[in-house]
This record gives sequence, structure tokens and C-alpha cells, in this order.
Amino acid sequence: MSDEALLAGVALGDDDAVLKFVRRYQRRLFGLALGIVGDAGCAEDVAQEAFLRILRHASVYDVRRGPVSSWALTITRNLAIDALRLRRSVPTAPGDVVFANLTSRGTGPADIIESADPAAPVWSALARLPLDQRRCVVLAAIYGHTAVEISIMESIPLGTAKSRLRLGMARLRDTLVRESS
Amino acid sequence: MNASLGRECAGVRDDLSEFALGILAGRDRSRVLDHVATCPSCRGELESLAALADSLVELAPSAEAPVGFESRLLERYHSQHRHRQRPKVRLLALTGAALLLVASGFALGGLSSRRPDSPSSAAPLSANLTSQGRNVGQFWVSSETPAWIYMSLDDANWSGTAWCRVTLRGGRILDVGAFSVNHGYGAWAARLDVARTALASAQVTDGSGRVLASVSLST
Repeated sequence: MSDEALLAGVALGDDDAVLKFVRRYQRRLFGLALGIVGDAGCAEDVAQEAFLRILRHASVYDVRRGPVSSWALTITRNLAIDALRLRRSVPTAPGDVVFANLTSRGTGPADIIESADPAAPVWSALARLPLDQRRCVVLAAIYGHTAVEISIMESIPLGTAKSRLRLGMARLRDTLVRESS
Repeated sequence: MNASLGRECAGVRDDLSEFALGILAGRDRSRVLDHVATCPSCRGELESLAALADSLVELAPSAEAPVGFESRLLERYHSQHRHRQRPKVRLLALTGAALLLVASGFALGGLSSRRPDSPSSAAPLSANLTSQGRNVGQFWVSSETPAWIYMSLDDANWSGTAWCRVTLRGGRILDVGAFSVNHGYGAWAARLDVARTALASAQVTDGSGRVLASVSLST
């Protein structure tokens, strides 16, 4: 069943739909929260709060604004960033294997063609960015770090962090538009 | 004047990516908001960057949630849901779900595309789908005209394509469409071209016409 249909069931109070939705998304929401806050206990709090908001507001989800997954992940990301800001005064770069994977994942043409992952084109475009831009984009887009924080983490001037972000995002967008047309 | 506008756009565009990523704070954020409200060009640029930001979050890593995550979450959800659930809330929920389904193209082709009438104060109708006296699922009908139906089926271990057919009070039969059942579970929604009060019963059958479940909507 599609995510949209599942969310319709949630909005109507179907307990089976709620359970299926939670099972479908718990690894992604918890994984994203863990990647940002870096602590399993806090990540569970964030992911649970995100689920409660999603389930409570299932009826107001607007499919025209994008897929359910992006909506759910963005809610989780924003909650995780809020939690992170409360806990940390000094930004630290993610040092886990996940960050390494995001910034160094290989994307040979065969991998992309064979992948059923709907995010495969984004992976591919990200992998073709220069490494310094890719790191800035990942730190901001997934881990929610500001340009100031990125400049500290990467030991670069603030202006450089901002321009890497701007150039990286523009190049990614242009690549995706070009390849989808 | 154009030069002035150009400078303003250039200044804002430096910050658009950070705005789209949700990492721009305070005064800069307000400045971008004020500008895009009156500049279609920068607003279009922002929309494309915001769509990209949504795509990027899809790359976030997955991880196994701690043991008991699901049960703790469902306990909190049901605890909150019991307190919140009132007929009017459920009606609004159904209206939203219906809009969602229209927008996602989930509705069946060939049905009326006219806008639903204003919802009445009545709550959606909910009834059990049964098979040989057993409850095997749920069937909901919205109070709007045209009505929306939503059903979930959870029975046995059957997989295949199921067909939904509703019978109207005058005896007319509507074949509403088909949906997939996997290992006994399936859920489905569709909009009808009639009012809820016109419905008498509904049946779910397999491809051979065998009735998997039915519901009587007589009130």
C-alpha cells in the first residue's frame, strides 16, 4: 500500500494503518534522529515525538508539497535539530561511519541503474559534487548545521562555508533538473 | 531602479540555500521572507532549492530502533488519541484524507470530479466488514457528498486482487474498483459518486466472485 493510502488510514483512525506506518518508518526516523543528536536515548525521544506529530497531523498532510517520506523526515530533522541546539553549545562534526558513507559513497552508473532506491538520482548527483561542497551540503541538509557551525567544524572562513553551500546546492539542483528532463 | 532590485536579489540569493535548508536564523531569515513575498523570480529559485532540500533529507541513514520503541510509541499514541478523538475531529480527519486521496490520484478514474459539498456535522460512519459472522476488517464512509469510503481488511492468509462493489438503496450496483491483498491484509480508499445515505451494503470479492467480506450499511 502506498504511503499516501496508509496515511489516509491513520487519519481515519485505523489502528492497523498506524501500526504499519510506524513499522515502515521507525528505522528511518530513528536513524535520522540518531545521526543528528548522536545519542540513542535522545534519538528515541525525538523519533517518538516526530511520530506522534505525524500521526496526529496525518489529516493535514498535503501530497502536493512532496512525498510522505520527505514530510516525515523533515519533521524529524527539525525536532532533532531543536534537541541538539538545547544540548550542545559547541558544534562537533559527525564522526560516524554514516557521515563517511554520505560523503564518500561511490555511485557507478551500474549501481544507479540497478538501484530501486528512489533517492538514487540524488545520491548520484551528490557523489559528483566536489568533496568540500559535498561535506558542507551533507552537514547542513542532513545534520542541520548552520554555516557558522560548518565553518568551525571544517576550519574554514564563514564566507567559504556559505559559498560552498550555495554552489553545492545550485550544482545539485541543476544536475537533477538536467537529468530528469 | 532595476539595478537596485538586482542588488537586492543578489543579496538574498546568497542566503536562499541556507533558508531552504532551514539553517538561516533571525534577521537574515526575515529579510529573505520579505523579499520573496514580492519577487517571483527569487520565490521560484527558493521553491526549487526547497524541493532539493526535501530530497536530500531522504538520504538520511536508517538505524534499528531500541527494543520496545514500537510498544512505547503506540502506548503514548493511543493514550493521547483516546483523549483527543471526538466525532468532529474524526470528520475533519476524513475530510483531510479525502483531499489527500484526490491530490494523490488515488481516486478511481471515471468518477465525478465535482467538488464535495460542505461537510455536515455528522461523523463518518464506521462498520465492521464480516465474513461468516467474523469481523475481518473495517469500513468507513464519510458524510460528504460525494461520499468517500475507506476500508481495511485483515483476514486469513490470502493474497491477490480483491474487488469492491457497493449496492445502493434502489438496487443499483456500483463496481468501485480493485485493490491488493497481501497475506490477508489490504486497505483501500475511493470516492463514490453518491451520498452516504444512498449506500445499502458493500462486498469485497476475489476474482472468481467469492465473497471475502461484506458489510450492511442499513441504519
